[in-house]
Amino acid sequence: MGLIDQTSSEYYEGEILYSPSGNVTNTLVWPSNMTPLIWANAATASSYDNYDVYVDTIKQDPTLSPYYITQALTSTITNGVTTQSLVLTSNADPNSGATIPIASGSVLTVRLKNVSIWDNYKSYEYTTLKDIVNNFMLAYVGTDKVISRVKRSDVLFHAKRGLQEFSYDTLRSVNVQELTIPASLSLVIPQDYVNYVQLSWIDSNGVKHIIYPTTLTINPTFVPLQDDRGLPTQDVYGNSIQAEQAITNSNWRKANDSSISGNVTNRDVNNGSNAFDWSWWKSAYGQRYGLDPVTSQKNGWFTIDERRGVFAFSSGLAGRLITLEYISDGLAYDTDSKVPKMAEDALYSYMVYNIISYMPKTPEYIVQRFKKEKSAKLRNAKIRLSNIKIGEFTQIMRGKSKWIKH
Amino acid sequence: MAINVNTVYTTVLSIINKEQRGYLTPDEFNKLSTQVQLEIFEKFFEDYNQFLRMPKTDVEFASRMDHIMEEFQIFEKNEDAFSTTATGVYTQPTDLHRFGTASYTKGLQSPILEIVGSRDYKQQILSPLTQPNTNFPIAKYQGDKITPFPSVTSFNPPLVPDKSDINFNYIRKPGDVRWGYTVGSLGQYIYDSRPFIATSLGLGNITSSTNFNSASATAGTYIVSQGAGASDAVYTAAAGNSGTGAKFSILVASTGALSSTTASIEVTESGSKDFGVGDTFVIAAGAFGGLTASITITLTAVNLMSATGQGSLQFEISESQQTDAVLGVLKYAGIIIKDTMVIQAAGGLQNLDEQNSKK
Repeated sequence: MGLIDQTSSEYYEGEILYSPSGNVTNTLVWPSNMTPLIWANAATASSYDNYDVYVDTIKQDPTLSPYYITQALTSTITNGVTTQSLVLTSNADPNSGATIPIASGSVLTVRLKNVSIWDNYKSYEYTTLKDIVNNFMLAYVGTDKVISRVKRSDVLFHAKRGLQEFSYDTLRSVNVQELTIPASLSLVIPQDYVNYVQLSWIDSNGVKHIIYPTTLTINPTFVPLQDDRGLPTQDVYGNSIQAEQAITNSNWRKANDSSISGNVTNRDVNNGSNAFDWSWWKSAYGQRYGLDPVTSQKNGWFTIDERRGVFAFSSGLAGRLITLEYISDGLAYDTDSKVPKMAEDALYSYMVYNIISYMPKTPEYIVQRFKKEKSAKLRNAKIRLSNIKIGEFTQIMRGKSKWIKH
Repeated sequence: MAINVNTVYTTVLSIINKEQRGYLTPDEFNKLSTQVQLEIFEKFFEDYNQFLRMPKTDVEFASRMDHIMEEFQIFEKNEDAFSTTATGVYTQPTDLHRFGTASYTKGLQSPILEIVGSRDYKQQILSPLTQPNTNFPIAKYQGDKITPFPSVTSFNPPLVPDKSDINFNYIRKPGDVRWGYTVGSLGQYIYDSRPFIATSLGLGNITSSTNFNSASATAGTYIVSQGAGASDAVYTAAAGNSGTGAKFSILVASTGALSSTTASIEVTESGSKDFGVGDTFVIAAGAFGGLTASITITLTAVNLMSATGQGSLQFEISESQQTDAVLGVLKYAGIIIKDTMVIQAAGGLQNLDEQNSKK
């Protein structure tokens, strides 16, 4: 049996067509191989519903004449298969009082909204963590197999750990948020953030400009209020009182970027207040000749303030549109727990090695064999996922001195 | 195919009689056969374990593992839980003998429940990576009950626990062996090959359970079947019963008033299961031979097959175990008839058989 269980129309359109019964109530069964329907019964403006209902291409809602359709969604689970039933009910016209059933010759369409369809589109690229564990238990665990006996929860643990490790440096699971930097120059770290990849501001052409991290400033993690002897002061419970805001941060936010980058104007020079002021009496820090490449850019800087859990930006970036690229560990959400098929084999090897290496009495040569296999497959996965295409590579090299024929 | 109980019994009797070593009654044989079948059955699993650890072959008909699995597959069953509580604790099926796996039918594609001890359960829920969910459910198995996690009561929306939530795959215990018989005119035991159904009617005289209600009838033999017609025996079931298909033969010795001395009623067909104490058959006036008033048969415990020696239950183990079964019964028969030679001979043959199979 093939692995694809959706028809082309189910995949591309994300919709199912039904013939109405001709009655006031229509019960539609949503196929279990489709992205499940979500409907908040207590619908509000912000509630998330992932589908729309159409009658002959007209999108329906409870206030739309002539059907005034209301709906109810129920799920039943039988032998592990969830079946969703969508009950559409025609209601009385508030003016005439007449209830009009959907004519049996019409076409009822239930169509997923874009975000759910998009989720569906790339599904074949991945294998779910559930399938990884089930495949592993089938192929690697049992009598006459590599691992004679192991608990499924141990396998699950190593699969998840593997997914975490792979997320950090092998998988292309980079998340990108588009944000605008507020006047406070701080953006809260995303909920599933593990590490950043790159921060960039976006210009009017949509081109990104890298924002670099900086060590020019620092984010204090503890900001005690001090008394006149320099000692931290305490509250009535004996705990040290902290300032809401570090003065270092405050100063950094007020700093003029050009004072650091050297991108000075005559006005800056004449103000005589910046680090690159070359007045003779400021020669103490006028020991630099030329520009420091590390700081000679005008894209701005960011730091991570661990105390507040935010990205802190330099003052020149206020109001800028930025993108925040970061990696997660692949386990934050249920839908996250999927592995690119190109790294599937590497994950199996990772799991085998980790399970075997912790089993007592496993001969060391066996452990080493799987260690090598794990490394080789991980390397393969990295090469595959690095997505090097010879055509693209050649194109890049055309801008260099060496042309590559292909 | 299962071993025929009559074949084993007659073989054992032949050996014992030939050697002038005494007689084994059906009741003794039934008890010994049940015991022997259980021994052979239990040995399957020990053998299976041993074969798993031995060098194997995949060649058709030569694989010991395949062979032993074939022996016990007949006892393998899939059943829903016997019952459940409102909090989602499921009781295992009553005939479970060896637990195999339990599937969680409310999980996606009915995943197998991983059985964990209380300590493991605690450890597992402390680790964020191994939290149970519907894809990877776990369960505690205590006191013949399974408590799955996550419980269906914690689903969104919550479900009401149903016994079909958990499906057990298990080995049931073999049933008792029974060599059934009827008693012949000379008092001899005659093999009754009909299957033993405890709640069907026992063949034979049922006059003692009959109320003739001062009826009279013409002499003769009449056949009356269970049914709803005027000439039928109309059945009224006591609570929970629902028997069908019984048939009676009524012998009226002399014309006139009916009584237990002038008439006798025999069950000639046992009918289905589910007859019980308190069930009645009413044969209405005029149903046969000038019957003047209705006759009422009220069933008692002695009228059911369970109170007789009738009906047989075959061995459930396969025919390939017949030699072992005969030798096993013989060994125990030797103990009963206090003959050490029989015990030693049967035991020796059994050991030889065992050694050959493990080489």
